Amino acid sequence: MSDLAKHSILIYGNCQAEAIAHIARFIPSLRDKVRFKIIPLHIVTARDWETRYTAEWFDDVRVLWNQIESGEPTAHRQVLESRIAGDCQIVRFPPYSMLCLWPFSGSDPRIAVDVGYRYPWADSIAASLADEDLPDDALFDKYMEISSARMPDLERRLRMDVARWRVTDGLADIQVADWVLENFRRRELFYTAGHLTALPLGRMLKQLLERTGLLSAAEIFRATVELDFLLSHNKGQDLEIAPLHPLVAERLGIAYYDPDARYRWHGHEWTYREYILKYIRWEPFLE
Amino acid sequence: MSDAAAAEFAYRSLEEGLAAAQQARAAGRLDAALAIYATLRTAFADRTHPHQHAAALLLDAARYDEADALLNAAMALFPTEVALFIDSAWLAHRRRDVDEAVRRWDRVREQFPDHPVGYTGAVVTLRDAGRLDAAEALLAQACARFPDDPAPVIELAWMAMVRRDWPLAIQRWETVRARFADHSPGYTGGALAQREAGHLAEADALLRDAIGRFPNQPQPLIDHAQLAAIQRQFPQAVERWDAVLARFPTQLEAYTGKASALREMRRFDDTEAVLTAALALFPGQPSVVIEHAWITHFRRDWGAAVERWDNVRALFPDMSVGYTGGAIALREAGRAAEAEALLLDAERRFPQAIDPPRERAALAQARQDWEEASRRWAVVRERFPAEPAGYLGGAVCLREMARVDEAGALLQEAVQRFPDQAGPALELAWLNNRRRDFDAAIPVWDRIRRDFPNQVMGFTGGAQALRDSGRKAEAKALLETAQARFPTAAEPTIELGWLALTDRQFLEAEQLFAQVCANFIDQPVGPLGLGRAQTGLGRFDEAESALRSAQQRFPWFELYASDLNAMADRRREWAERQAADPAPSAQPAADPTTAERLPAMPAADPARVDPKLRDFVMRFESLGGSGAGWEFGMVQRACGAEPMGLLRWADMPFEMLVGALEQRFVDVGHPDMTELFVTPDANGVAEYCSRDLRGMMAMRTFVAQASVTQTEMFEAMCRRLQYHASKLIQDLTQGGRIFVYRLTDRNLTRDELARLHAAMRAFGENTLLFVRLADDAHPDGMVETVAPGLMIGYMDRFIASRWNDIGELPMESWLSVLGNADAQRSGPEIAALPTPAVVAKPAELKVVLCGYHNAHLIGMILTRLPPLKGRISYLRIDPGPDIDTIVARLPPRHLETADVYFEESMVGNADTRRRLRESLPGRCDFRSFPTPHMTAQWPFLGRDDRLVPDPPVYNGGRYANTDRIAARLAGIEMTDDALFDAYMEMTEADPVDMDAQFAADMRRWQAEDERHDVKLSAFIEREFRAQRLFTTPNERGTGIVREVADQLLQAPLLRDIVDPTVMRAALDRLTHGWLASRQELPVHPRAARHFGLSWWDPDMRYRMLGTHFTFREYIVRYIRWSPWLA
Repeated sequence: MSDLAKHSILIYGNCQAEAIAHIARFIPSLRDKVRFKIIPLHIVTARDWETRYTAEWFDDVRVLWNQIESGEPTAHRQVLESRIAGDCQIVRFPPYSMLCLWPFSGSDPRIAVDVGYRYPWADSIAASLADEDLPDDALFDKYMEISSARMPDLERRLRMDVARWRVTDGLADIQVADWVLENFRRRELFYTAGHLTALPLGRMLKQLLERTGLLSAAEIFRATVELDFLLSHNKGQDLEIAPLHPLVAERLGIAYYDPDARYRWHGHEWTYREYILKYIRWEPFLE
Repeated sequence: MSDAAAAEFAYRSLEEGLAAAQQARAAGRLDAALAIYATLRTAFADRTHPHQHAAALLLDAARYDEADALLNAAMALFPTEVALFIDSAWLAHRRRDVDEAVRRWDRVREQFPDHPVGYTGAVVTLRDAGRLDAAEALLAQACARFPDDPAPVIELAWMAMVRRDWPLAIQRWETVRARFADHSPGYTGGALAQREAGHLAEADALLRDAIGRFPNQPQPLIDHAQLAAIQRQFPQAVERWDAVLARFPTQLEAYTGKASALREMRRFDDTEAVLTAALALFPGQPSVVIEHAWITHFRRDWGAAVERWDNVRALFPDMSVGYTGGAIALREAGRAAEAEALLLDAERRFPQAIDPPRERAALAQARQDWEEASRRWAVVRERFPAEPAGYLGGAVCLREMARVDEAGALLQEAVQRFPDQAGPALELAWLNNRRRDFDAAIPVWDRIRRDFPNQVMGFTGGAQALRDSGRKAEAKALLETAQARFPTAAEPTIELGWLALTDRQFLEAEQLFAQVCANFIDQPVGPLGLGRAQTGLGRFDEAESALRSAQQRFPWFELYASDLNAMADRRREWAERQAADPAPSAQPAADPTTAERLPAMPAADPARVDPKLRDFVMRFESLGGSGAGWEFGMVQRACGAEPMGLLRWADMPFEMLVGALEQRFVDVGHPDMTELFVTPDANGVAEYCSRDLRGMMAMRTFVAQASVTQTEMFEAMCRRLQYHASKLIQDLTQGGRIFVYRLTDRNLTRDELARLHAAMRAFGENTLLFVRLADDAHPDGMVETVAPGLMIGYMDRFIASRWNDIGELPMESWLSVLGNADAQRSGPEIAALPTPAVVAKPAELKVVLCGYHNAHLIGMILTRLPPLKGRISYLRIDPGPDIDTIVARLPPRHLETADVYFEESMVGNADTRRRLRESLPGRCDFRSFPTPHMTAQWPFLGRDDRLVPDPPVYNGGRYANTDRIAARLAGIEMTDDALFDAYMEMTEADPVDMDAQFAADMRRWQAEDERHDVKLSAFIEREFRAQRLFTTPNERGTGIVREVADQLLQAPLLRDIVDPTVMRAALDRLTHGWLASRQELPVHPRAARHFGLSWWDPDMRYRMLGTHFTFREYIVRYIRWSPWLA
């Protein structure tokens, strides 16, 4: 066993990083060897750097799993880099995202004004029907009619996604583009544009572990086996699932698509039709 | 003292000096501002700001040469200051000196290669000059060179806009938003693209989003106002411009935008007022001064126009619009020679500008000198080949010289040259319409609709072509499509009106033009069409009145006079026809209402119509009634709404209405069932009325007996009734409207109301608003929702008394009832249109819940039930701590003022719960509810010594619900299959008595019923086989939580504010598909079999938070005490 007691791996990234940290903490063989710390870049505040993530908090950090962002380093990232010890190993990994599966993820003004933040995965077609006063069947039919008519060129959208992935892949030590491209039609990888099923989360975590110098090859092997076991029936980040439009599934050849599937939305499980109607009407739901 | 010293003395800092200059500039003292900048340049010789600010001021004042000289001098002084070089390039751009601007942008890129503006600025110049390919090439370089800079990506999106490739533009703006979410152009540009693509609702949604995201930026608000203006929703546009001004009072664009909207509403005095205010605020701004001049054109006040354009030229001699605007004014004032001279002067001054030669051509055209105009348009084409004006104007001249083929060829060339512009294609299509070459015209119109879906003319012009080629049904369908697609455009309704007139469908035409008059008050053809329709019906007095009134509003519209002249002939014609076809004798009217004189029902004054109120009352439809059954129709008319409805003017006794609904209005309008009769109106003029011979639908027609022959009227009436009956069935089937019914002589019984409601709901999800007289318990204006889709409204009186005396229309009462009905139907969450009057909102009920997780779930339901939104306040108390701790956390006197208190009585500290109860006021509605548990569903629950807290990931132990049989298999090394088989054998053989376990559970639930207000034992016993009521022994499923909520919601105070039926429907909807718990303990097949659990399935997966197991997977993992991911 390596001398890892009291050493930490810090994960800096978005909600995907939070999910990775959550899963990693359940890996039995690592529980006594390494701590997993997380700084969620999407919610960290300036005050957090003074109160929670102080210089002392970084004392035991030996490895940084750093989810890259394009563009100039943010102020938060600059603070992070200033607090990381010079000999800390940094493994850069890219964010997963896929926009082409939700081609109408445009804008919905209700998101900005609704304190409840009911449906954050905007659907611009549904938003445009918000004021329609129609029975369910007519409303859903109208949504399907308009959305089908306005369905963009999805292969082109996919190419745009791939181009984006390649840019972030180029900045990272771990690459995702080819793997997503090979798998997304056969296996469900995304619940929303940025929320992942267990499969990509597990892959990302394994790749990070494999690049982590603190761990021996044997420890990594054991951890990845345990990880497979833990994730074998896990659902990943399934709190909110934005169902796929049937035409998207058809045009992109999504093999796992089931028109009768029920999708989790917080405390509920709805069909695609139910989700769309509730979204259009901005109906409240329960946790 | 030197200038420098003076400036330093005057301004202690550069900032102070700049502020002083800005102040002078704002006051319109441009020379004073320039003088300050000059002294600042000397005093602060090492700073560029005074140079830049002075240049900007000169640029805004269109004093380009001076600005240029100043910047050249500054660049010499500060050769490394990029901003000066950029300003210099923009200056050339603003002057429209494209070659020079491109050269200067090249210089910026050469000297400052790392500055993106060198690229994006050049792209803007190239793009505006139509050199799109060059612009895109440069943009590609910029995107590669500055990947993290939003500007190139934004410009790329603009490029698609310029190319009018809206789908591409929409995609590119999405990319901008995705990559640079904190940049507003992604939203405002995206909205513009959506707007141009005809997706107005999406444009609106995007802008509303942007307004929320960028509250400190004016552009989203400005674009939102412009969107309303483009949709010709001018009152709304004015409101939105006011919103801009309220937030950003120095936004010049808001003043000019508001002025334009007011101008479109023909509120010229208000327009002048806004522009005058803007002139005072922005005295040196060309756009205000120019708009101030243009307004005179709309007033057709050419004398003032000439003067104001003189002023524009004096203030801004370098702007060509001062000359061309002045020339138009002179031309219209009949001073053509002066106009010509002014334009020649402008051509010399502005050789690069198209407007002077264009206006010269228009000048020749205006005096119908077609040869000369044609020559001048040829010059325009030659000098400005990238502008379509030369082609369009030239084609008009050729057409007027009867050289139609040449005109067609020229337009065909323009269509090919300018495929992205609608103008040439529209002109070509119109030309084909005019020469009645419909085979050629119709495909062009089709293409226009395809390529320019936002052009209403593509529909109306296409409909004209179809109509004139004899394809009237297609024309009508196209116009109806256009009506739906462009609800704010008058043209489709106008064209439908003309179509009806062509077919001599005068009644229909009258209704359509009445709509135009009511909804589009700025359309002079509305009264013209109305007059023609009424003339066709022989109602000459009304027609004459409409035309004469319109003549006063639109004195320049010449067609009224010719129609009035023709009317005398028509009157004579009618008199002759009447003599040949005598009118029916007045027949006795069976209905007492119609036997009386009919009251006058003047239409609302269009100028006074509140469009919001009009639209609001259009959401209701009358089902008539007894005793002036037309009352609600009159309410709509008073609001300026003129919907076409079968029963709008109908007397409709209850039995007849129910019968007609139940028989789906069979035979309505059939000649054998329809009778025409005559009744005098308030002025004694005989008016046709109609009635269904089955004793219903006696109604007014508003057609004077003298104006139409009986035969014509009868045929028209039958057609109208048939059409309206099918329309009503369609409306009922579609659902969504509120149908209004009222009786004056009696109230409906509960059973009658239920029957009527059921008859309506048989068509679809309709809402019935039955209006009756108020009483002590139900004051005027009150509305009760008594069932889904059924409301009762109360009014002090109707227009007709019980004895049928006609009085004043009780508008206030009606508007209160309608407002409340709409609010209740919509629910408080839907932002209803402004309701005219709403009964004061009741005070919120203070609801307190005391308990743990179950109480939390109930509280979540209460706060998310739409009918309770805004009607209750809610607080949950955790009864675990002692009373002092709790009280310290509560708002002052919260418990003492509680209205409703729900207590989860089996959890927390008993003493705390008691003392909390003691704090409640006597009037508080108290209800307690149990927290039931169930063991029988898991008969093998039992001890397992492995269960110990396992922090940090399994604080309550790895598997909280232990299994005594599985525990015995722990540590045994076997394969999964063998292990599971062993477990199943042992459990099947176990002598557990599940009936006894269930009986014990049952006794416990019954005992809990004794102690609580909410009773669950019977419900559980009845339902647990059909629903998963318990997900673990200690976790309740949706069914139980819902049942507890349902019983608690029966609290009288809650029932008082929301009808229980409504509440239950809302509860059903809210809990649809809900899983109250995501911790599900797998159920053994033996237990499922024993109890006959119908929801159970041997292959079902059980949710254990984030992981879902089958029974087998769970048991094997449990036996092995394997880790799992929570």
